[in-house]
Amino acid sequence: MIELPDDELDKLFRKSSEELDPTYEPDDWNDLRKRLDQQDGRTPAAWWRKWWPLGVLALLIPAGIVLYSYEGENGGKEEGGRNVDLKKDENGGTEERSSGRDVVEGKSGSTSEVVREPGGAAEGATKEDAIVDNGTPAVDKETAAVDNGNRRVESDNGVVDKGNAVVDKRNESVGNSGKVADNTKTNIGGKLKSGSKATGKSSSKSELNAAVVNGGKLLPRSRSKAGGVYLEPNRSKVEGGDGALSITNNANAKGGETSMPQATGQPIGASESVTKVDELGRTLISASALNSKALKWNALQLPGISEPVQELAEAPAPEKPPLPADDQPLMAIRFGYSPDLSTVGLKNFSKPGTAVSLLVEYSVLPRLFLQSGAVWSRKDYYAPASAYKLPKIPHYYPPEMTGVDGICNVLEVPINIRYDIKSGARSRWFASGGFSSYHMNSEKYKYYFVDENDPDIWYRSWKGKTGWYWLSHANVSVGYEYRISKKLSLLAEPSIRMPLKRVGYGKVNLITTGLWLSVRYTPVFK
Amino acid sequence: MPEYNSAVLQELLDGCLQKNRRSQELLYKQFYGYAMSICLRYTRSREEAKEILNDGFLKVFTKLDSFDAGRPFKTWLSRIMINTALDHYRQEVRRDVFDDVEVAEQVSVDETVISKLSHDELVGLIQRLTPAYRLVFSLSVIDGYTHEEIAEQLNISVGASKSNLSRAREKLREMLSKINIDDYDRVAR
Repeated sequence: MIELPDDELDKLFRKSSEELDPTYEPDDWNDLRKRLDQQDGRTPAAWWRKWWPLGVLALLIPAGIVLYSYEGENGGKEEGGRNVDLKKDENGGTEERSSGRDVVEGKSGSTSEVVREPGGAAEGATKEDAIVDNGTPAVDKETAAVDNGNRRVESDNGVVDKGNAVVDKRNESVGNSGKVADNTKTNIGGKLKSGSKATGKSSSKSELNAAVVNGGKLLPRSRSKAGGVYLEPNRSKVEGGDGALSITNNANAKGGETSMPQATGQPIGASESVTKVDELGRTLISASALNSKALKWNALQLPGISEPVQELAEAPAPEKPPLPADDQPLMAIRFGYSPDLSTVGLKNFSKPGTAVSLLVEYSVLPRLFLQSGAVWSRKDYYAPASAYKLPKIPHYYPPEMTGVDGICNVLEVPINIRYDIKSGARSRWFASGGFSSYHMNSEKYKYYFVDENDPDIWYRSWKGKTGWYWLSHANVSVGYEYRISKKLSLLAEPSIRMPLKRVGYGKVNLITTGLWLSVRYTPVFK
Repeated sequence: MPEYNSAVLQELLDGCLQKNRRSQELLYKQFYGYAMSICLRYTRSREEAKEILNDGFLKVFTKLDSFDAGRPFKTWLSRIMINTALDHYRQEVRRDVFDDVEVAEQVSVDETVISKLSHDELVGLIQRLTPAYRLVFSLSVIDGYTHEEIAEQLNISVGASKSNLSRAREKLREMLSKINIDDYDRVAR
């Protein structure tokens, strides 16, 4: 046992501890650097962990739009012709709101609710019945007339029956859709409330009677999806009007003037029912008076109604017209942005640079495009000393380096082939590959040495440009394209550029990855 | 600028604040020996020391903005390393992963290397102490902590701290007695 006093022992170990100088182990730093990279999001995995929400968003938004469109298209298929009619009525209703209804309100001081009966024998019950039925949206209104209290009306005067025949001729599916709508019992009260501020007493009886007594002259009418049929302004030439929107005129002129059905895209000639309406003297009906009773249909005490009023489903929003899937672009222009993750050896990622592109695509085969253009990018990377070849300077032997930081502005000219793997009406999956030539516009390098204080260090950085490197990289990418219109689409395209030859002042093998987010414009189709 | 933080060091620290990897590497390299020597005397192996060293440097890089540039960086660094080592020790105690105390005591110095006794071996002797002895000895003798501070740091009594220090010295003497006195003299010079 060594008999050392405490202070001597302490001195011995203190001295050893203070003078101990463990040798530097580069692996220790590498371990720490990995941890720092993970923490700062500089590894590919960490980068994706950091940016995946943006990537997911970039994919989910078009996917959501596609899904929405797909469901919309399916809905249209399921309900068949009904949708067609609904569209017509909706358009008609819109048009009518902007014209006839206002005028009627101006004339009568309140929203007119008129039942027009050619035979002049419109009973109160019939009128009220029709009013209630017309309180339902658009086509369903007529359907309700078919499905609900129609027999009662028929027994009274048979007028509505004729009207029904008209409806049926226009579209037989109306009746079916009405049934469907009856089952849904969607509340339409709110819609009615918002349809017009003028509520209250109906003047339909008096106006109808006047019309009937005066020889059954028909006032023009139009239908509203908000509920009811409204009088249109008297624009009949016969009656001193300008003739516009006159159903009679339209019927006689066979499409010579604009009418509601024509405005919705239905040719007048084909719309015999409209003509027939006039010949039969169909009744104009409005249900605006029910606005104040919107949510209490069943409590409405109307004479002649024995069955509960069915609340009908609200017409769906107009469906987006599908894009033609067989449109084959001949030429397209793409503008894109991508983060530029450049590295030497798929590690040592530093902060992402920026890349923008302007590309032109030309279709050489139905699914095959030739793609070229220009890509400007700023590449920010670190290269270990072993990957960077410092140009030799005569009679100069630079000290040992640890690495190089590089910031390069690069103009890239790619020549790629794009192949559409899968195409839908609005979406495409594609892959592309090709070669790129790099033009080093500007290069900045900062050198790091093992001994930063070495007097043999002549220079610590380099600035300049080294020009073209033809076909220096191979490009591979896959992408998803979503068409937002016939000519315009959005693309998300992860890509990688692999070095085929060394580039730049230090002749590095530069690898670049990124995610292109592009807008594609197709001005010319085949 | 404080004279104990040179311009070069200040430049490195500025680079580290901007998360410049090269500046971090250079700072790491510059203080590697100093920090590792601290870590070694608080651990029983180089691997463990490396773990603490990198944990400590990670703290340095992530909390550099809290460093007061008016104080010596070395002092701040050593405090971080010691605290990291103590955190590590507390975690080990919680997990109860230490070897039996006697195992460490039974480790003897290889007689064949006595003639090569150096700072490494002397620090190696500290590493061979049990964790409780090693920490108290390092904190008290090498890093200058008082027994009150040690007691607070290790959550033990002041008496236990003094006792551990005394026993640590005794163990070190035992281990040194196995080493040729000439070699000891050479090292102690």
